Amino acid sequence: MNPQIPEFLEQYLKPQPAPPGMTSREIVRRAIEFDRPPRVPYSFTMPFGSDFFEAVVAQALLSGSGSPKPSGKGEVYYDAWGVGQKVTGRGWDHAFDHPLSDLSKLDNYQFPDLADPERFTAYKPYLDLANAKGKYVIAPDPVMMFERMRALLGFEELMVAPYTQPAGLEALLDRLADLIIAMINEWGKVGGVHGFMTWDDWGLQTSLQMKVETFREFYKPSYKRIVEAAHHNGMHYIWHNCGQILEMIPDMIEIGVDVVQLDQPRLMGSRKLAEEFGGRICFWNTVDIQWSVREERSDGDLRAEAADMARAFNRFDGGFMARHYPQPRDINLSRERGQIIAEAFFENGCAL
Amino acid sequence: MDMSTIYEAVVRGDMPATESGVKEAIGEGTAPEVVLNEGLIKAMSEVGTRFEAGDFFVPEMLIAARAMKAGIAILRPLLAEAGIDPVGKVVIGTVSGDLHDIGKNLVALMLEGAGFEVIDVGTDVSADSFVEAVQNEKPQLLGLSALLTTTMPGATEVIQKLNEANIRDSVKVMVGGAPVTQAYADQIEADGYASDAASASKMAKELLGL
Repeated sequence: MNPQIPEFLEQYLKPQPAPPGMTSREIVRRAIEFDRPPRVPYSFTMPFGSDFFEAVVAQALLSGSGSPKPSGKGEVYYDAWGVGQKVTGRGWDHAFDHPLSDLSKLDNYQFPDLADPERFTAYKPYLDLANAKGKYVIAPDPVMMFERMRALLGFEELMVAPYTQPAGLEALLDRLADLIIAMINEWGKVGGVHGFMTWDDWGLQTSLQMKVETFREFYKPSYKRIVEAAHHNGMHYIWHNCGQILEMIPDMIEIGVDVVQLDQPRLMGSRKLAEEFGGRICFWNTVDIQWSVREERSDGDLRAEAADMARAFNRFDGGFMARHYPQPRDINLSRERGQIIAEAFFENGCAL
Repeated sequence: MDMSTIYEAVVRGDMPATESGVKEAIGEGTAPEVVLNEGLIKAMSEVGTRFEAGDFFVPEMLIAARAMKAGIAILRPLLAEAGIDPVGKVVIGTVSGDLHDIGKNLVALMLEGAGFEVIDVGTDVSADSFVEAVQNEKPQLLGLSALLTTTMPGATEVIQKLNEANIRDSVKVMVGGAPVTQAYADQIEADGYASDAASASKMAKELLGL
């Protein structure tokens, strides 16, 4: 292990308050499974504490993981998928060159070997440490099917593919789902993973990006296979999904998604979400990131919003978890506002 | 050739049928501006209406726009020959620090579909570059897009620089993007705000009195 890691992890893995004999992991499990958790679980940015260990953190710490890339804003590189990327200086880069815009090239396309068992065993010391500290461990989905397809095809080609390249679209979905399932199986073999999390955004500000029927016809079967693989390996399936996705939440519930992680809950309204779906899927929400960073929001606004969210969701014997946006600098959320949000959640269900 | 054939082909995003319909209409002697206005532009207006109503989504809008563009490509030399100008000129881009282009591209497509000439200056465009584009292209409209709350102030800077260059009155400024609101547009003294590509096309025409 890198010698710097213990100090870093010490803070991240600091135990959070739990009743005697109970761990953070058990509190999270109870929240996800509507099994009367003693408090609302949370994942706040340091130093505010977390019940979780998100293995994506370890990914950044593992020496030799990931392909080298330039760091200067505006510089370009090709990632392991053959996608041309421009460095943004933020937590993500911008795809500009798409190797599969023509899906007839799929047969000859070389997928990166992301399911190589060695990639997973490297995580084991971190997973063991997190488990020893009683954390709920989340394995990241580095593929992120829909996002990956946007990079591979480009946004426009991906959007029109159901009309222009339907067979190729289905074939690519099959292959990506196979790859993700192989990775989930590898996480299962390593052990100590409790949730598998993807980041696939389907919403715009006011609606889905495409008709829900298109999602159902082309994409939903692949997501269903992936969710089933997670469950087969004893993991919850956690889906970060930004934008207005009201119309597809019933489908997410139907295929067994355990947790929906929303950063823009105000686009749909916490009360509406809770009324329509409370008790059927667990919500893991930030205070809306578009709303909370606006200059005109007062401290009182932020506190009231966190209290409203807790009141709306935390009444189903579980089904609610609180969260900070993990890259506050990317959205210009000040440390002071982060502290106010954390305090407000602690005052409204996150404390024992 | 009945213009409704071209209209229907565009609405359903059928590029080959649009191309053949346009060629057939021109071959029969239909004036290119009639094909443009009654076939292509009318169809894209319907696409915008269906998008606003929630019947069409981004894929349907994009595939219709592809068909429309294929038709316009055939008409363009004929329209130029006949001295028929676009209904207006728009410079559009995403503000400094913001590399997102999807919303901006959709707006550009809908503006083209409404008969505008669109100069797309790209993403992460500095305020100075926007000013330069306005000075060089002399558009009637300037479209500013920002997806991030962190990049929204870029639109304010563009308007400030237009004022400093004494060209603010020469161009109407429209703003849009996920976090942008009418209140924000009012605050920075933009002339118009649109929440999506279809309403952007309507707002552009409204601002120019078309």
